[in-house]
Amino acid sequence: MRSKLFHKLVAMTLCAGMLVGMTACGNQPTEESSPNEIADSESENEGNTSDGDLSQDDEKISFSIAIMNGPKAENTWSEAQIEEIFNCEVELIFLPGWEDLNTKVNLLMSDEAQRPDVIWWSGMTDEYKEWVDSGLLVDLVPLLQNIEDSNILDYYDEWAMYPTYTNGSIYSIPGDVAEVSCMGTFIRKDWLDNLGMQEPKTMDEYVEYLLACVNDDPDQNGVSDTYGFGGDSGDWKYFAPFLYAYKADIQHFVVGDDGSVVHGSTQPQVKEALALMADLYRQGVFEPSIFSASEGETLFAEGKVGSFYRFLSSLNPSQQYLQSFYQNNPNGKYEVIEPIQGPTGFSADERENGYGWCSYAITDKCKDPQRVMEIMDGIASGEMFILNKWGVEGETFELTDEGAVNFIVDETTRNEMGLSTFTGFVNRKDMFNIQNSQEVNELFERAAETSLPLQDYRVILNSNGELWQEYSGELNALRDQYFYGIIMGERPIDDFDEYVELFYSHGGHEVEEEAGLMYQKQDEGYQEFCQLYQEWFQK
Amino acid sequence: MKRKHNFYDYLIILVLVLVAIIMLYPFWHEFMYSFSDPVEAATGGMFLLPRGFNLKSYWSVLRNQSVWSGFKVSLIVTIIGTIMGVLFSAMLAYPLSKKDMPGRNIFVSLIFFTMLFGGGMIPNYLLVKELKLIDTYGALILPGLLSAWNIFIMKNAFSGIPDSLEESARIDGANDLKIFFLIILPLSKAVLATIALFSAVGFWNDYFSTIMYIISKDHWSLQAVLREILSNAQSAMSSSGISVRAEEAISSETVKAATVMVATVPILLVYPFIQKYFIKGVMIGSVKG
Repeated sequence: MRSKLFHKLVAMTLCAGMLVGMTACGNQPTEESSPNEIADSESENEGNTSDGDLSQDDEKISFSIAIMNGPKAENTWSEAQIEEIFNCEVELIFLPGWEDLNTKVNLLMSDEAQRPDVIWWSGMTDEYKEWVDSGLLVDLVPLLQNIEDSNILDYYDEWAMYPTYTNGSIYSIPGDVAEVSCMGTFIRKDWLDNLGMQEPKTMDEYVEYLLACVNDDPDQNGVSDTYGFGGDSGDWKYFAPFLYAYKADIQHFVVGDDGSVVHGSTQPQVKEALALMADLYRQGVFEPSIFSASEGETLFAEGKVGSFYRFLSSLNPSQQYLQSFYQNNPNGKYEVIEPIQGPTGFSADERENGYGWCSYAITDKCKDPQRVMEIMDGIASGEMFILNKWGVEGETFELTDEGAVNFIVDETTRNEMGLSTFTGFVNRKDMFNIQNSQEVNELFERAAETSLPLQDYRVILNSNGELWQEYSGELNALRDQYFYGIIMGERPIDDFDEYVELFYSHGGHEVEEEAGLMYQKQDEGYQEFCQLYQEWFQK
Repeated sequence: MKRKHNFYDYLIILVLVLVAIIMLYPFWHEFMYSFSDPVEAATGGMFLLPRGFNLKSYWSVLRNQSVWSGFKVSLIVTIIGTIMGVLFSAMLAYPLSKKDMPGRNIFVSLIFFTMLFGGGMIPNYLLVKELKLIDTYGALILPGLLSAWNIFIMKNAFSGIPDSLEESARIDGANDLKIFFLIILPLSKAVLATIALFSAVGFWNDYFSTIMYIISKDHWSLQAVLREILSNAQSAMSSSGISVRAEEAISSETVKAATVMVATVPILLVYPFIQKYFIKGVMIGSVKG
């Protein structure tokens, strides 16, 4: 009996011991303090200098900054440059990969102890508004007003800054705004010559070229191993040469014939574009992975596809996939042609919305927002951008005869140096973007013009409406299901009419109405913002 | 007498070989890719052998301080976490395997409850934060230390050990601790090895704890570093309708492949050493009620 009792006691003691052990371990932080704690104590020692007094500029300040770009290495040359030039100590808080980014940013922002002085994010429109409403972000207008000749204000126009306008002020800065148009129709110039054809301008000529790529052995190797058109899957903009020639903008709201806002996928001209694509699919023009995988770069390097709709920067000589293409096709040459004209003469290249795809802001945790804003503005200067992204000319890079950057240190060294770490804080696309060759720069300039027709047609909204967020998943799935089905011959072309009916019976009217109201409100809001912007910055 | 193989035997062998190839090829592909020249590898396709053999990618990975610090963190977390996890699981499972333990059913029910319901991400984060574990190794080890599943496997394994062994030891003067450490655990090598493997793989592959609880880069686990390197800015952002070009990518594809190898091979090397225990251990856990 006593033995049993003892046995029970031992058993319970073991369980209790384990629980106590776990608790004890839980209360034992490691000897190393977290960097945030160190930063906090250092900041406290330095005192609060957040009165905007520019005479304090010589004092060294410490601040933490969330970093998404670059190799995410600590104690690098890049970091040292920033610290030396701006007389500061920067604590880098590296954000994880794209899949986990939002989770981490939310955690950082919701935990006061971990919140960095400068936060960086992508998307997260709703969260941004919540942060502003909760007072977690600092109003940047007075800070920017105190900066003479601000690089940020000099670089961005009102349109780019407009999405940051919340609750009557500016609480964030766009981190990266793409060029107004950065894609184009690529064709194989050497194949055109082999086929004895001229550069296609109209859809009929383009189709003739694509069919010849499939049927007439354009690489003259005696094997039928080439396709007419290829690219990445998952985004309809890769089919732009066919869609935009018919003024079919199926991923956006557009201005209808009567001036109302309608969804582009429901417009009658889409049916014509789909019919053409279905016909081309039947004739084997499309490289199959465009419907299933993101193999665009591999196909581009391999050189077995006659045409792509790709990023213009793919033609930069430093591009690995272009180098691989030349290695596989010593006589090959890609050329970007003007957008293909459709039956009505309409033509357009893809047009970006002109808004930042990422942003950064100064949080309420920051002890000296004015100094930090000045430092961030300094980082946004053209010279600092070059230093951060490419290093020093003659030491880390040289400029080629074509005017593009050619690194003279290898990838590992560049990563060890931390190059690109700070490019998420105004990633410039102007003359300081020395990565582009002369040819690519000219293509960007041309695309800015050739994409204009789409700008007039497309409705650009600076945020998604609530109804769109609710219905878009189903509506987009419906569109993809019907359109891919039609192109791949699994559905007759007349199923397009069925799609339009289903679109409107699944919330299409509601989302169009919401988009129309938002468009109108946005326009009014933009006018209001421009007026305020003028008052704030006399620009 | 040796049985002669018939048609169906060969068919089964063929199917198993095909399945093995399907399983092994992705690994082989990355292995060969990692030894290839980045420009030559860019054309994709099958990789039975490296294209333009070179070791640049491995050189690049091994010079990456993040990989080394990640390796150190993962090693520490895996070793400490596995030892503590197995020990604590055994210490909890052993008394629960005793039918005469007071409140046994309550404890078992409470543990079982955690198999069905979890607190969720935010409560976990708040708990770790309140325990002052943010940005410490403790945050990477303690939340995943005990698994209800592992505890039940162990409990079932311990239940299979005859009581007469304990009684004999007790007659010879052994107390409960001696019985546990000198008799029960040595007799349970198979299940301990199995749980150790489960636990080690779990700790080694865990990246989300780093995402949740770690701030400073030198506390990132290897898998978090790997995930970050593999995270392709272009594809992730293009899928969000954002136009980002290939030049924004920091690491070439061959470097990514080499990183995958560096992160995967160490844990793969563990398997052969405990394979002999592994199947037996799993069977013990599966057939006892």
